[in-house]
Amino acid sequence: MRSLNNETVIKSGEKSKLDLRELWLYRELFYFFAWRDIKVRYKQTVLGAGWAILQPALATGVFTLFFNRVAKISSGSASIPYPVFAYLGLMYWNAFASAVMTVGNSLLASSGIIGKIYFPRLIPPLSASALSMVDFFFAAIVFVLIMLGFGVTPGWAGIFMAIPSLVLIVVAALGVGTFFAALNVKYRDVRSALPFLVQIVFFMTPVIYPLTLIPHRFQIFAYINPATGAISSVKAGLFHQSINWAGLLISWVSALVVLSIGLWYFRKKEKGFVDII
Amino acid sequence: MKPIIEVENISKSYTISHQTDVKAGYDTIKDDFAKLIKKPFGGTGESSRETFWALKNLSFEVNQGEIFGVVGKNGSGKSTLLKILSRIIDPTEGEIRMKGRVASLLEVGTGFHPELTGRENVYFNGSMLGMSRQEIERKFDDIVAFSEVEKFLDTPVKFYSSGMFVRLAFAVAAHLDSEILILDEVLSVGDAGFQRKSLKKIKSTMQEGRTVLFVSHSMGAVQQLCSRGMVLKDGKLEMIGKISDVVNSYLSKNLDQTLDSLDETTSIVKKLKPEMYASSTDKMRFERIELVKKRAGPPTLHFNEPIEIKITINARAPIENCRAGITLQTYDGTMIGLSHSNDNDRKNLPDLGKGPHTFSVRLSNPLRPGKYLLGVSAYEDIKSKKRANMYVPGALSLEILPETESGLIAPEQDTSILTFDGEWTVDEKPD
Repeated sequence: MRSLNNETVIKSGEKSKLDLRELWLYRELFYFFAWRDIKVRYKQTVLGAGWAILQPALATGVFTLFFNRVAKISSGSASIPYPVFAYLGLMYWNAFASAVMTVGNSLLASSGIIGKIYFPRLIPPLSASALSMVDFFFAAIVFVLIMLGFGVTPGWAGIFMAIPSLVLIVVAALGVGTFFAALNVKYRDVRSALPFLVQIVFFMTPVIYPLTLIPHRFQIFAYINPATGAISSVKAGLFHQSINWAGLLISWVSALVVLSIGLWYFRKKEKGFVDII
Repeated sequence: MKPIIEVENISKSYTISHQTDVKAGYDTIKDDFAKLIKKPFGGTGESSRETFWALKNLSFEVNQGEIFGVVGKNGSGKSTLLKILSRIIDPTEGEIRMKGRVASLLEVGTGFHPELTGRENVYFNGSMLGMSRQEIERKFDDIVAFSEVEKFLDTPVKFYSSGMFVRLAFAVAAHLDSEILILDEVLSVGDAGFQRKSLKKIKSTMQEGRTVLFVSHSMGAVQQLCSRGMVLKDGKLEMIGKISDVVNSYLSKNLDQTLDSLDETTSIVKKLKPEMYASSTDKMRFERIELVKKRAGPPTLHFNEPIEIKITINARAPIENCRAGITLQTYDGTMIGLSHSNDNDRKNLPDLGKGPHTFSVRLSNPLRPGKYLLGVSAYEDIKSKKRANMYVPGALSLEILPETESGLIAPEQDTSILTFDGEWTVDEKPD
């Protein structure tokens, strides 16, 4: 006799809760989704994971040429080589941007499966965010080599901040991403608008320019953008500058608010996804 | 004992909008803004929107260990019901209670990724259907053996033939180990041999005390597998009960739609559209095909009941040396048998004058219970380019019931199409 202790009850109009226990039960599926995406991503490419390195490297080259040499934007300190400065920023920014985009499109990308198999709908967005982390780690290995090449000695504070900053990036990206993923199901406009929005935020974030370029009294507002907190604190830490802890706190609060809004909206719309996808 | 699945008053509605312009089903922000501007306070809704009930007040119960069949025409709400039970969509009204793990297979091969190898897909798909990694590892060899694709396990599935693909996909699902298994029309995959194997596999799950909810268009499969079932019609329960009653009720109300009339008498008559069933040179046409039956009702015959067919041919010009014929095929196209009007006498080839002529034939019936296609042919046996020749492969569909006229159950022979009426003796004398 099989045990029949777990009962499934389906009721109409029931609000979906953020069921962490269920998410935990489905953790293997999360791994499998992430594993599949990583596997499939570089199939039939010549460079494979090389793209994870090439993208920030080439972008660094372009920004160094046009922003640094032509437009005379510097790293804000003579002791920090601009390419190192820009690569570091781009490394974190790419993690944020690609996480927002893949999470934002994750539901549509797996719409075929969603319509046929039940699993917590948060699984595709969660595992999509894992994908951009893989690219980040490839890019980070190269960053170490770049620092060695330019003879930059990283500060301890920066090394300690490296992972918390990445976490901050993921939290914020997941919040924005899940919101747009849910919106994307109903409004396909999101697919076209999202890259454009991400591009705008890129210029509002001190990725390729130092935060000091923004007038001092406005700087604190820039921290409302969580990417600002993540990127400028790791930069300050690595390049022996002082970290703006108040600013970082604002970024964290903002990221958590964004995550809450994203998850709230996602859950609100979750049950209807299949009806309109 | 309490039932394992309790469904109480389930309804599901969809809002369908009648759009005049051709557009995809989803909205754009522009549309919603436009609506907001036109009706800033919500209004009473647009007149072009209509509520459609895919399911309405459906209640039923399934007991543990039952294989429960759900039958109904396309659009009767079968798939909606299975999707609600699988928790893919939410019911608009009502409540469902299910005890134990629920696994569902609504489509074979969902989530298979073409770039991944067979081995990788087994793991990914198994995990998606709710198996743990240890569980997949434990069953991996069984799954592979069942699918018969050992040699190609490390090949990306995009290089698989469609047969290999469905075999592997079904194999994963067939090894799901849940208390409740929900299956939607999944037995129609693969060739006949694989279908029989799949059917057996599902039957064996019942012996393990598992409960199966099974949707199919194949009355043969439903009748073979299920113990109880129900008929859905327009989202409502039409009848529920013993599977033989369910199948008979469904068949009698939903005849093969290619039939023009169910009979003035008791026979099944099919009037053929002349332009579709004319001979190559239009010298003759099939007019009607009749399955002679003793009882009114659907095109079914009892096991061992002789098959009587009348074929009416309309000759538009004199026909020389005419030969009529009958073919029998399984639904997957295997030719089972032929019979021609001159089989017993080669020279029996009548000349037909203008006008209608009816060939009658009575065949012995060795067919096993199931659905078959009956074809008709007519041929002018002369050496001329202008000779008339016509053949309609699936003119009638025919179902053989699992019982003889006197109520005897057909012998159990899962894997065969024909039963031979053998006379057996044994030499009992000692040597």
